Amino acid sequence: MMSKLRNIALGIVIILLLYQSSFGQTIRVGSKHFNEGYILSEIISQLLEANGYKVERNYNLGGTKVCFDALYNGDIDIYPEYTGTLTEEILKLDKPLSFEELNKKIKFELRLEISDKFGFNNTYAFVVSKETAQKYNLKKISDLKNHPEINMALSYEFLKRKDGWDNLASVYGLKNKPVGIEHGLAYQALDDKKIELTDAYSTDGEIKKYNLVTLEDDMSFFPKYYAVAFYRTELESKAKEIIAGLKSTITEDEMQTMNSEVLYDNKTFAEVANEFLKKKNFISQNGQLETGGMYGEILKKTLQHIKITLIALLLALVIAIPLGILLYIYSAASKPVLYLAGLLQTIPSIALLAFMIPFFGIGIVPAVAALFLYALLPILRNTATGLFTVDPLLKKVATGMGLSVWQKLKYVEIPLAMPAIFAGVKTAAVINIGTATLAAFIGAGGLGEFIVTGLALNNTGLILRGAIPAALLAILTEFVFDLIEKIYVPKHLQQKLEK
Amino acid sequence: MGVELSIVGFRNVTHRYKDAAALNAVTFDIAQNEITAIIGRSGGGKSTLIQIINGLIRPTEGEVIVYDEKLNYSKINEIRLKIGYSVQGTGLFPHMSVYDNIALLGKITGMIKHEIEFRIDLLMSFVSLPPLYKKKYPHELSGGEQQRVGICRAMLLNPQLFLLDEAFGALDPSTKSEIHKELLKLQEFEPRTIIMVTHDLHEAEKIADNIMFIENGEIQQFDKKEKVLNTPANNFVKDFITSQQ
Repeated sequence: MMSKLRNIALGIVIILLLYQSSFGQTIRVGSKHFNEGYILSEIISQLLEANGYKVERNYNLGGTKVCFDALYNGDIDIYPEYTGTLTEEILKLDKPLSFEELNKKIKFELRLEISDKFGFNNTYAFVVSKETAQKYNLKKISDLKNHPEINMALSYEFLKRKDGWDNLASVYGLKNKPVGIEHGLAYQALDDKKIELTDAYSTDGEIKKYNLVTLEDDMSFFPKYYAVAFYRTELESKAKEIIAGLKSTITEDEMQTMNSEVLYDNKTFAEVANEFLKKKNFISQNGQLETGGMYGEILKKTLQHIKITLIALLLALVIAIPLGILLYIYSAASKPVLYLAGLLQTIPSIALLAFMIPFFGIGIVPAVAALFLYALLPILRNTATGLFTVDPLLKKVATGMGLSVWQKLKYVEIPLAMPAIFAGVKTAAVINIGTATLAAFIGAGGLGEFIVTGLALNNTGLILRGAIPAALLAILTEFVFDLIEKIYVPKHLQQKLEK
Repeated sequence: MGVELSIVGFRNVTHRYKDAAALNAVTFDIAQNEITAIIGRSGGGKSTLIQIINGLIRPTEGEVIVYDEKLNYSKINEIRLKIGYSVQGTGLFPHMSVYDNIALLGKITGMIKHEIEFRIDLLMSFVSLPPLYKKKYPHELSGGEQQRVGICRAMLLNPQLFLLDEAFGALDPSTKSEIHKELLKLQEFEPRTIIMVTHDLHEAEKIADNIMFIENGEIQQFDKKEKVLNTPANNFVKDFITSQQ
């Protein structure tokens, strides 16, 4: 009997292994949180899938640092990057290198690799409206020298970067006083004539849409930002060859068009990537793009959302309730510990999430860790306070009757603190559901993915697709907790709490 | 350390709160299986005295004897289980039913279930509580009924010593007198040493055998009830008696 079972189990394992190997290695593709990043990642993902690989998509990974750390630590295998970013931000070099030197240095110093250039150069560009160009007779950046009165608003990133404003101003001898602006708002501000000039990426879809003029970088100040695939050395050589096929396939104009399609033609990243791969004959013309459908997606992400929230909440329960009880017993420690937990609560969610990456990489684990820290305080504080505020007469009677410290806790104090503990758990759960939407920034999935992508696309519908289920989930959680409380806590004690 | 034969005895017991003395070198022995009322004005030291007996307050100086032995604070929980304790406002646990309140010490000490049930039925009949009340919660009972449950709870393990700290203080006179009758009936059935703190002279007069009069942290008079009432030892006692008549 036993050996029969063992044979069956062995058979299942072998079948699973064969099944797995027929699909090849699973490749984890990352992406920074912006449209072009999504499109390029989706092109890479679909190209790999078309060649039999399984792909795990870890998009929405925030900025360069998050993506690079994830690749460096082996949490993802590949993501699209730019040569300029590699030089300036990752290797922190002062002078640009030739492509070959750059590749060598990445291999040698980081033990990572880059592919050949995809073709286009997405560098910074200064853009103005047609009217502004005519008004000041602007064609090149050096034309700005005679117009210090031009009203500039530059992205915060550009103002801060090494290859940003300060250096550019000294190279070109500009005396303008630029103000900071969120890049996503700059085009609207230009269109509304609130500002006259902003920095842009040369492949931005908006340049086409708003009919803007790009000023020529006549002193070759801006470094080259050629898009490449940035990947781990361990990636299968067959996969590397497939990626190498993308060499010189995307022109600046094509990238601008793709960017504009997701922004203004309501196409998804996957659709745009799919059309590109078909046009270039990487995949068959009649291949159908698989999509789960909107409701399937929402359900999948809602389940992910619940999963992250629930794991974090359960962990917090297991730690915070006993800790709260200990704080009550050793009350001298309660103030410093509650203070510390309160301090954790004040860290902005995004910062806390980012802070988790060096410890836990990306994905679900750091998200759960951060949510766990957020859930600690409400449960801890309510447990300790609930116990501290039990009627002192009842504590005295329990002691006087002969109950030991633990018996007193078990029979009297914890049951009476239960409504307060419950309220703490409920608060923690609701906070977690809200904060978990931000976990999408570090690749944890969940409903936040809709919101993050929606923000990138400025697509309210997509934002609501994440925000509405998240809000419903929070309401449902309150409701479920109220129900459990109704069953668990005697009625007269509930009423007492409400008063 | 010899064995001292006293159910409850104080030897030069002093207790100070910060700088004020609540009890000042008090010495006495309580008579076994009798009811002793500790009486006096608020702040006189009676509440401190009764809480010293079950170790809720540890005196600054002096020796406390309970059950013929010097009070051992490292085993205080075991000793407390042998001392019934009831307070004003009853101290019933609001999240437990009447049955669970009374049964708690039985559960903790490992009494078997039918033994607990038998004992609860007996005690409840003594204090005229209908058996149906077992399922009720404290807030569903009147003040007098709650106090009766408090007595049953304190009596579950049949302690030989029962401390009542102003237990009937908040009850109306007729309820109070009913409970007094029930308590005396129970005392006849299973006699024990009862020490009750009260500010009500009539209560002491009605059920106590002995009266201890405390004022300014000192015993002004401690004797048989009749003696204290008829021949007050000093003006403190005399004034208190006349003030309540």
